[in-house]
Amino acid sequence: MLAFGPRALLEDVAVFDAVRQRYPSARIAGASTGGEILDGRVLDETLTTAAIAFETTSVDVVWTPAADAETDQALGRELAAQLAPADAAGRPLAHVVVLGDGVTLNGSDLAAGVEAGLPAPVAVTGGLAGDGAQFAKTVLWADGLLREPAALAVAFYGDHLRVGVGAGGGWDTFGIERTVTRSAGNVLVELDGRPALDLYRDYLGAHAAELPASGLRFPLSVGMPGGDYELVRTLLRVDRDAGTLTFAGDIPQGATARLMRSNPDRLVDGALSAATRARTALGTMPELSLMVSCVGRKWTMGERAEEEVEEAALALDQTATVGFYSYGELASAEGGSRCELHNQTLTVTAFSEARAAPRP
Amino acid sequence: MTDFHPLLARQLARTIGDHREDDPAFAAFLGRVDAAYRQADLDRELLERSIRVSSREIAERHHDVVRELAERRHAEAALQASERQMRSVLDAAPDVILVLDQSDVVLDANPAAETVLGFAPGTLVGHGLAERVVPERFREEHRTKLHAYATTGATGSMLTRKELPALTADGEEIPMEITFRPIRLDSGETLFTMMLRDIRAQKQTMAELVAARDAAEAATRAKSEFLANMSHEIRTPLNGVIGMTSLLLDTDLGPDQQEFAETIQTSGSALLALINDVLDFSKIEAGMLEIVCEPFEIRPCVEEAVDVVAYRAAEQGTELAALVAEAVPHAIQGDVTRLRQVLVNLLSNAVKFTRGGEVIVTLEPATETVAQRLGMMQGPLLHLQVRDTGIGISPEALGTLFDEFTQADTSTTRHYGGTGLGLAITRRLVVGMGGAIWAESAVGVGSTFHVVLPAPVAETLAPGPLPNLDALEGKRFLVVDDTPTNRRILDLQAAKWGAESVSVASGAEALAQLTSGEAFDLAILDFQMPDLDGATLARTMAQLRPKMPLVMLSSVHQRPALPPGLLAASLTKPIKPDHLARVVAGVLGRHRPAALSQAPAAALGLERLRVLVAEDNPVNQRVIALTLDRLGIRADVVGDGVEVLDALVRSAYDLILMDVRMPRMDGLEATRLIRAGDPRHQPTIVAMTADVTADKRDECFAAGMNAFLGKPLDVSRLTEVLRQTAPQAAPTPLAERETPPPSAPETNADRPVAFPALWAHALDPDLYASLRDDALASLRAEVTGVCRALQADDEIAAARGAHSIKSVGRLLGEESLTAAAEAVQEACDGARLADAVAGFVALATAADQVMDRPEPARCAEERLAVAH
Repeated sequence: MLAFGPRALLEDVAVFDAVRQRYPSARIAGASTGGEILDGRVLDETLTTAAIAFETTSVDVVWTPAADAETDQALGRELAAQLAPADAAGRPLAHVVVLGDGVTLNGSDLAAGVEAGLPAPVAVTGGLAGDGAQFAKTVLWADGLLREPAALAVAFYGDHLRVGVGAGGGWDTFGIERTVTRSAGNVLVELDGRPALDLYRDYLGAHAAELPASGLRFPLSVGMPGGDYELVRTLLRVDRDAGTLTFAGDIPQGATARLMRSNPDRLVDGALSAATRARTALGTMPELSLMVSCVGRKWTMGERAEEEVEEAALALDQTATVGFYSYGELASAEGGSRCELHNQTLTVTAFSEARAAPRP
Repeated sequence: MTDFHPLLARQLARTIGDHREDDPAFAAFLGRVDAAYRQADLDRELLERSIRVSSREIAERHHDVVRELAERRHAEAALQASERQMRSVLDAAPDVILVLDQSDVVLDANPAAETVLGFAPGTLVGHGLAERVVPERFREEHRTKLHAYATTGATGSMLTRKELPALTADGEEIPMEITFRPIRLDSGETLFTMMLRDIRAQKQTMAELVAARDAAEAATRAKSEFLANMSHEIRTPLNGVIGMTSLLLDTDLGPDQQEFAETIQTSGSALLALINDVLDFSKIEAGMLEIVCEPFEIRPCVEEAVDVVAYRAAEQGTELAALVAEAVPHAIQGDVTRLRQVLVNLLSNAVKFTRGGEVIVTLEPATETVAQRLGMMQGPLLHLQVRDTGIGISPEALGTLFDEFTQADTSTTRHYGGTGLGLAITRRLVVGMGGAIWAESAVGVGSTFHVVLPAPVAETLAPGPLPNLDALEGKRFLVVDDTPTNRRILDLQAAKWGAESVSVASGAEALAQLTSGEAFDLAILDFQMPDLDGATLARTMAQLRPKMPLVMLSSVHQRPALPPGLLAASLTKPIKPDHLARVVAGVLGRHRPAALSQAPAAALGLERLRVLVAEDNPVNQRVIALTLDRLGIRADVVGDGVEVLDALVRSAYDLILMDVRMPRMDGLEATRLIRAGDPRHQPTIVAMTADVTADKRDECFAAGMNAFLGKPLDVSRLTEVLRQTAPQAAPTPLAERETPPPSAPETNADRPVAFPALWAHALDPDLYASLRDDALASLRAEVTGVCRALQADDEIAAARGAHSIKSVGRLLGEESLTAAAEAVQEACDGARLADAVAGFVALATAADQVMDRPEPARCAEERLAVAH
């Protein structure tokens, strides 16, 4: 059972109990969101659930409290270490979906940790929980309500489970290239020697008052020092006194950064390309697709937010989709195999369980 | 409707007007359209703002780039200007400046390459340096070095400025001064610069200068040689004049003649001194001053120097004293002859200008302050001072004191004589020895000359044998001398011996000490004192304390007229510590109750002792044989170790008196062989050697010797040794023989003789006379022998002769003779013939004094008395 909904609902024990009552023996995993996705539609303030029954695949849900690990990378490793390379019946680990706290965790470290700690080289997708436009607190379910910041993993074991992954952005970089002259982890302090907050004030004008939400319109394209790939970073928090910005992912010192912008049409194109890639990678008709998009996209698109979900659903042949708007998407970057934290992307994980021969 | 987006509101008004449908689906549709309009507005607003801000940023960045480019252009222009400036410097340089790459190809050459070497533009650049500029014989080396630097970075001798020939475009070689430097460019590439300077003119000038210098030096040398030769030529006839004059003065002359002859004598001597100075100075000027560095003993050197002027000082009534601080090492490294010369010069000078009063030499280690002031901070320094109470030197004259041909003033010359070269020579000598000299003076008060010399301690030269000072320890001396310096010297000496001294400044005080009942073991008196003279004092003291030995200090020419036996010893001033110690120890030893020296052999039961004497020196052979003979012992005498062994085969001996150093086989070797032989025939073997160091003693005992006697032989000690040996040969116990107590006539011990030391050994007029005649004959023969050897440049023979003279000198107790002989021997051993010749003059003088010395008349009378 996958469950997505606003923080207020997921926090409510009665809500979980109701779900549990309905599915007494199901493994339940869930996350608070910045909006829910269900079959090509965008929902707000709803509890959206997907009950999934497998024929030949088993599922495990594990979680680790953030306080148990010194670093978020260690947290990722400990989480992954709880997973067995095969289930009790000997079915191999096929795929892992990770959901993490969206406010306190560094998604890049978490992804790196999970990747490093996995018992078998399988794909990892997922995302960080959301909190609407609040950025205050997120909630996870792992067979119960987790009362503290944590990360959870849903492990899929089976010989016949096929998984196709795709991610798409739709953002364009613009303006001059800047250099990260001061930063610490995911806190950006200075760009080209100027306070990073000033940059956003310049670009947002009057809308700077709505930071950090209005900052989602200008994600940063970060060129990692020494790497030839770029990642998109979404603004999470603003410290107006210190003039610093906190992003949903690391921005190392010495990296290059360019502002990104988009328009609804380009974002829709990005979503379409993510779904198409996942569908192609899967190679067959999906039975269920997990769609994780960024709250930034939703706000950028406004009224047209639904369009990207509609287009993606079309590319997935109108099969069942469920998902949420997250504070950070996890999937392998374009052209790479490693699971990375993405921002401002739409990621699609398409599942299909090939019909198995009847067991003797 | 009014809350719709303005555009939507207008469109609605235009198309639908006020006829609003209440269809909720339509309302929812309118809501969506309105939201899309507003969304589009926000998008556009932010897009426009983004374009504006971004354009501004791009403009700013562009501006930065433009400015940066402008700055770069400016910098490039400045660089070009500086390059042009550098270029013009290179172009104007008179030296050839080349830039080479690592493969020796010339990359750049300045115009001097054409003006100096004749390479037209383009004929050098692009070509290898080696084949164009480096002469063929240097090419290989040039390439090797370049290659070595390129591969290992080793510069070797590359960076040193060199004089090498370079080839012109025409192939002519011209001398160049070449500087070669690698330059490392920012790109990491290494190039070389080469500067070539034409030094033809320089060479020419240098050659002229060298020629001029050589000519000047040759002229100076010729002049100095001429002067040296002339001085020598003048000296020879002058010696004749002086010698003949002294012979003339010995003849019967009338008063006028006497006076004329004396004037000739004085003038001749003055002229000789002057010529000696000139000769010395011209030698120094000609650069012939040689300073040797070898170990020598300081104290004898000072004593010798003081001796030289002692006579004149005494004549003038000037007190002369030398005080060498305890802290001054026994021996130092240096030039003993030069140091003596410096001392003699300063002392002569001081004595010359001091009539009455005193002249005092002090020698002490230089203080830190002095060393610092002179900037001589390395190694130990000796500070020598010659202080006088003479006429003094005016401040103006002090400045030029050490200049050549200068005396304090010309009137001084008239009054005191002298060439004015003495101090100049002294200064040259001191400077030559690495030292410093200066003077302090106050007119009418006196002068002090200071000399500070480097004085590295000579460890190799151990302190010489000191007289046995045991006899002096704990004794109490009374010192009577009116000169504070002398009292200080005597007090210091007494303290050194472990004795106590009470020093007083006058005879009256001395008598006061005695009458007050103070006990003294010995008194040392100064002969010349203002109130009560030494002779009178000695008489009075002898009456007060008949048993107390008196030692008189007097000047060379003052012989106290005192009854024989009154004085235990008489010493000449200045005081020589070692001599004093020896004499005082001798006096106290002699006064010990058991004076065995006069014991007849029979009384001691020695007559049956079979004694073999092994001694190579004929004089010593005779001394020992005669001494033994007097003790009633007939001894056989052999000349070396081999003969000892032969003698032992022929007959048995109870005692062998064995000289340690002998030709063919030395005493140690002979002893070892005897001890290794038949155990039934083992005589007592007693070593005889002048070398009484502990090492030597141990060596003798290790070889198997039983006892040890110093040379010259001391009769009492010899007797003691004989007595210890006797019981083995003569079983009769001593106590059973009724022997009369040994009679030791005091008068005999102190009878005035020409050679008191010899007398102290012999104590028998006949033995004394016999030994003396032998010694003098031997001395005469050896002096002649040394003289001949030196003329024949035969150092070995001269050394041998000098050694013999030394031992004769010791036997006779003639210290100056011994010292002079030793100096000659050392010089010969060191192959320093010039020094040996110089030393021989002193040796011959000392020998003449010894040989010409008459025995006091009283001696003859006494002999008669004894005969009766």
